[in-house]
Amino acid sequence: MEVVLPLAVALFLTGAGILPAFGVLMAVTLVSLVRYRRFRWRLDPDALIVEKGLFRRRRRVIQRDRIQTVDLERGVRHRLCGVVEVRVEAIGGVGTQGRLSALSPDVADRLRRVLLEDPEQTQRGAKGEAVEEELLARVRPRALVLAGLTGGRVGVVAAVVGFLLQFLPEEQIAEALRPWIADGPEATPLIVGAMILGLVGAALMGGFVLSVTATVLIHWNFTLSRRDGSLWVRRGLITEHRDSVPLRRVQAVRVEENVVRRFLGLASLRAVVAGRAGDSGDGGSDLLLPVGTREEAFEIARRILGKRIEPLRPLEAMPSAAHDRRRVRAAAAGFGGFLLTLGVLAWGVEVEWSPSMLAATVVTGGLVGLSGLALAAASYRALGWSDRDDCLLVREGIANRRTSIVPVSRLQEVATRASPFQRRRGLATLHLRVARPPGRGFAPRGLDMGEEDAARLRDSLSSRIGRSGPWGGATGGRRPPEGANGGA
Amino acid sequence: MSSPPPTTPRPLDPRVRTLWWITALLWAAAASAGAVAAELILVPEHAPPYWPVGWLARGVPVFAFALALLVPPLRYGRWRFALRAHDIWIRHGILWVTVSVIPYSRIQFADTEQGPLERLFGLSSLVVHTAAPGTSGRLPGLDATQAEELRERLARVQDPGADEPT
Repeated sequence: MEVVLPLAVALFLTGAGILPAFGVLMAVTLVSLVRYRRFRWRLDPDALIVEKGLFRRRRRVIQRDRIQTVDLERGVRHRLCGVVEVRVEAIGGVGTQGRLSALSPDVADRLRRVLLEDPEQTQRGAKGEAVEEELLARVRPRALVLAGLTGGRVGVVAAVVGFLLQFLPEEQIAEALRPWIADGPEATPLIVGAMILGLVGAALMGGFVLSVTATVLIHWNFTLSRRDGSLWVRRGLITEHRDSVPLRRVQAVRVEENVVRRFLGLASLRAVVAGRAGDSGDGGSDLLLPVGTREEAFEIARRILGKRIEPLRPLEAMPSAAHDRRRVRAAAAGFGGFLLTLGVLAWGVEVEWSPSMLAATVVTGGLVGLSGLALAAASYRALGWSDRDDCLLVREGIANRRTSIVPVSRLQEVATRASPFQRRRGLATLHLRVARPPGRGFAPRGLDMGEEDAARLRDSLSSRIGRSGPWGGATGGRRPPEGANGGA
Repeated sequence: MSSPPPTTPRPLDPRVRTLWWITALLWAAAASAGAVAAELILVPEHAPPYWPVGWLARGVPVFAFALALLVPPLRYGRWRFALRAHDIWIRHGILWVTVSVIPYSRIQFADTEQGPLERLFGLSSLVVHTAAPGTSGRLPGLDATQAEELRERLARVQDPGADEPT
C-alpha cells in the first residue's frame, strides 16, 4: 500500500498516461477492500484470534498468557483516518505476532488494557482501589534539543574537534586562503587542509541538524510512567508510539553518560527487555529516558528495579593492576607512534638522518604516550563495580560512561574470562549474562576486576540466583541433579 | 554404567583429545592442500627475484600441523567441569580462559549432540541452554551414556512454573 501510491503518482507524472495510473489505483483499492473484508479479530477469554487472507485463509491464535507487549503506533496515515495500529508480541515468536492495522483509538486502548492486565491488579481495581499511574519522567522539547546536540557520536566528535580547533594557526590559514580566493585555485597543503577542515565542519553541522531533528521527532513529548506492573512509554511527533514494557521483563538497565553529557551532568537510561523481538524501526523502544539529569536517571532506575541503588555512594575500584595494564598500553602506543613517525620520515619522506628528525620522532612518540597515559587514567577511573541490595552495578567507558545495573534475580549465567595479559596481572572480566533478545540490548560486564574478587562474586552470585526468584517471587533453593554428586 | 560426575572439577573424556587431534589434522591437511594449490596458481612463471617462492607452500603446512599437534592437548588440559550444589561449573579456553557457572534453576533445556566422528568414538556433547543468547554451557566429549544420563538428570531437576522462560 505504502509503495503503490507513489507508484501510481509516478506513472501519472512520467506521462504513462492517466489510464495506467488509474488502473493501479483501482487495483490497490480493490486489494485493500478485500483485505479489509477478510480481516477479522476476536478476543476470547484465553486467546487473541486473528483471521485474514482471501485465497489462503490464515488464522492465528495468540495465547493471552504468552503475550509480552502490546504497542500502539499512530503514523501519518493513521492520523488521517483517525485510527491506530496495534502490535502484539508473544513469547517464542519472531517479530510482531499480531498486527491489527487500524482500530479506533478507544478500542485499541481497551484492548491493550485487557491484554496486559495483571490479574492481581484487576482484583484490586474491582475492590475499588484506584490503580494509580505513576509518572516517572517527562522530557520537554528544550531538553530534547539538548539531547540531540549532546547525543551519540556527533556531540562527542564535535566537542573534540572544537577543542582541537583552538590550537590551529588561524592567521596562517587565512593568509594561505587569501591568494586562493583572489586569484583562483592553487592547491597548497594548507589550503587543502583548510578545505578538509571546512568539509568536516559542514558535515558536523549537518550531523548536528540531523541528530537534533531525529531526536525531537522520535522522542517528542516523551513520557514514561508506571501502571499495572508495566512501564508505559509515549513518544513521537510524526509517528506516535505508545509502547508498554512489563516490568518483569526488564532484565537490566544502564545509565549512559557520554563525555559532553557528563560535563553537563546529563545522562540517558536504557533497558534490556526480554522477548522484545519487534522494533519500531527507530531503535527507540528500549530507551527509558532520552535525556535527563544524572540523578533523575538513577532515580528512575531505582524506582523501576525497586531497589535502593545509591549512585552517589562510590563504587569499588578495580585493583591498581588494571591501571598498570592501561599504562602499559599507553606506553606501547607511544612507542608505536615513535616507530611510525620514524618509518614515515625515513622511508616515506626520505629525510636524511638529523637531530631534528630524531627530535620529531621522540616528540610524536612522547605526545602519543602522554595522551595515552591520560586516557589510561581516565579509563581506569571509569571502572568500578558494586554488589549491594541484590543488584550488581558495573561501570566502564571513557567516551561513553556506562553504568549497568543488573538485579541478581535476573541473571542467567555468570562467567569470568581472562586474557593472557589479564592473567599475568591477576585480573579477570566478569560477564553477567541476562536474557536479552539476540542482537539487541547490551551485555553488562565488570571489566578488569581482581581475579579473586571476580571468582568469589561469580560463585556467590550463582548460589544467590538459586534462591531469589524473578522479581521477588521465591523459587526456593534448587536441588542438584539426583545422584549427580557422587550418588548421594 | 559410568561413574557419576563429581562435584570437584574433572577433565573431559580423554578420547576427545584423540578426536580433536584427528579433526585438527584433517583441517591442517586441507589448509596445506589449499596453500599448495594457491602457490601453484599465484606464482607467475617468471617470478621476479623478490617473489617469495615456496613460502606459502612451506609456511602454511608447517604452521597448520604445528597448531594441529599442539592445540588439542592444550585445549583438553584446560577443560574442566563440575556439577556443584547449585550450578554447573565449566572452565575452558587456551588463551582466553573462561569460567562459566550456570545455575540449575536457569537451565531452559539441555541437548546432547553427536557428530559422525563422535559417534565413532562413543562420545557425545552436552549443550545446556539458558534464556541468555548464545551459551557457554557446552561440554564436548563426554562418554555418550554419561551424557545421556546427565541430560536426563538436568531435565528432571527443572521445576516447571518456578521460573518463567523470559
